[in-house]
Amino acid sequence: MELLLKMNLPGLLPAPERVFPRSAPRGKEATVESGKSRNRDMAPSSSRPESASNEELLGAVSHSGDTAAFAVLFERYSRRIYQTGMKLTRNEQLSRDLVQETMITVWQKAPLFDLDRGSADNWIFTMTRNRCFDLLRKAKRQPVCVSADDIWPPGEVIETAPELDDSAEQGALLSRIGELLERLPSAQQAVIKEIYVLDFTHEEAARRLGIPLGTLKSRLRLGLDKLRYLAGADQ
Amino acid sequence: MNDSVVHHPEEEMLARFARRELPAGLSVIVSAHLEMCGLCRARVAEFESAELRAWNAEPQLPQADAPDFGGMIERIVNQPRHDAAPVEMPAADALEKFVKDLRLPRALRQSAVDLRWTRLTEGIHQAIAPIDHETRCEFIYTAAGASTPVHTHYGREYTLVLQGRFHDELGSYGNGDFLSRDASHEHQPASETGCLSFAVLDRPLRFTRGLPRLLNPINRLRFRGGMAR
Repeated sequence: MELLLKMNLPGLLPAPERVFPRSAPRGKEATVESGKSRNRDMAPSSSRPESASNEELLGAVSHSGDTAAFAVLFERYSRRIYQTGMKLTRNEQLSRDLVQETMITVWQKAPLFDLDRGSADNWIFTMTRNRCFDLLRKAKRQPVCVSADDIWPPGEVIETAPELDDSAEQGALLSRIGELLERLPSAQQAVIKEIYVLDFTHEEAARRLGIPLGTLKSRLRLGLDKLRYLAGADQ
Repeated sequence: MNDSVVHHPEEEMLARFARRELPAGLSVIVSAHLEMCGLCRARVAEFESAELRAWNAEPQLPQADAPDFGGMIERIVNQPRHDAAPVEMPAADALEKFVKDLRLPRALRQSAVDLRWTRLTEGIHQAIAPIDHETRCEFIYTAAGASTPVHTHYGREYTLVLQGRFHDELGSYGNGDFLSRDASHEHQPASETGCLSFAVLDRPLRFTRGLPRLLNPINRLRFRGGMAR
């Protein structure tokens, strides 16, 4: 089980009641789901969007497509994005395009915003520079086989989950997870290993194991449920 | 996470990556290294935080100096939101020819979709990734027991080991290792077990010994083609 030392289960370490990952690291559906479920808790507490935090506004845009919340975000960020565009491109039209492209991304991808991985400022700033990179490449007619979101993944490279260190406590926790994992049916173990140890996406793991995606997901869910049960029963 | 990475980009390169100052080809290779190296990821996170603080500290453009964005909000909120899900990245089938179970870094996936491999010399295969006009990017596969002809570069060459191990006169390099060579190094990389790497050159290779020198004009031509603006 030495591979387990490389495990990077989000949310696993801090508190026992969170033995379960809040989100699968890279799975497509999982990312969207987790964004939604978290953002659901972040709907503006007040009915006046002007006094809501940027994170609450993003949550409202994500959860219900709240156009009033979006308008407040637009008001707060559009000029800053424009300024960044002028600094990077020295071109008014490109800078206007940048405002539009960035705010479209905010509108469409708000469900992918994950508070665990950084602030709204951080996310929108990354989106601003990523859209600028793509716009400039397009303007220069560079090949389109890379996009900025692949080079600087929003909320992934910038604020990574804390790396596991070798402290005795974490080592003990990991070895306990290893023991629990071995008590699962081997098919469920295999799925968890593909996703959480080897860090493959759901699609990749399904392909590698030669099973349908749906089967993989149900095994993953069953395996994690069982693991949670075992962890609870073990305490 | 790969804990065995020993060779990293220089600090200055990481800072320029965070400030978005590198050409696309170099940004791609640094990003790929970061995905394999937690140490450098943490370092870049610090540079990114500094960028964000600077962004937040900038005085806001007065309303009067900003252009009129009238109508933009309405146009945006009328856009469909169904494509919020991330696009599934293509698998690296084009590399399966040489290595199995490769976990290709995200920054390299799109450019690895449609690779055309050419044999440079016995056991050395290369496939150009057309990423930008400022650099020359390529995947290189060195078969077990093969070595690249002795060569130097006009400019600087950056290499990231994706899978396997190779060595040259200066050391031995494994998964995730990032190295940089300039014109003063005349070297001959070789691999005992086979090695897939990704390399970025800002100028073409120049072979300095033996028959492979015949490759030089072709090499230059190919590079000039890549440089066309």
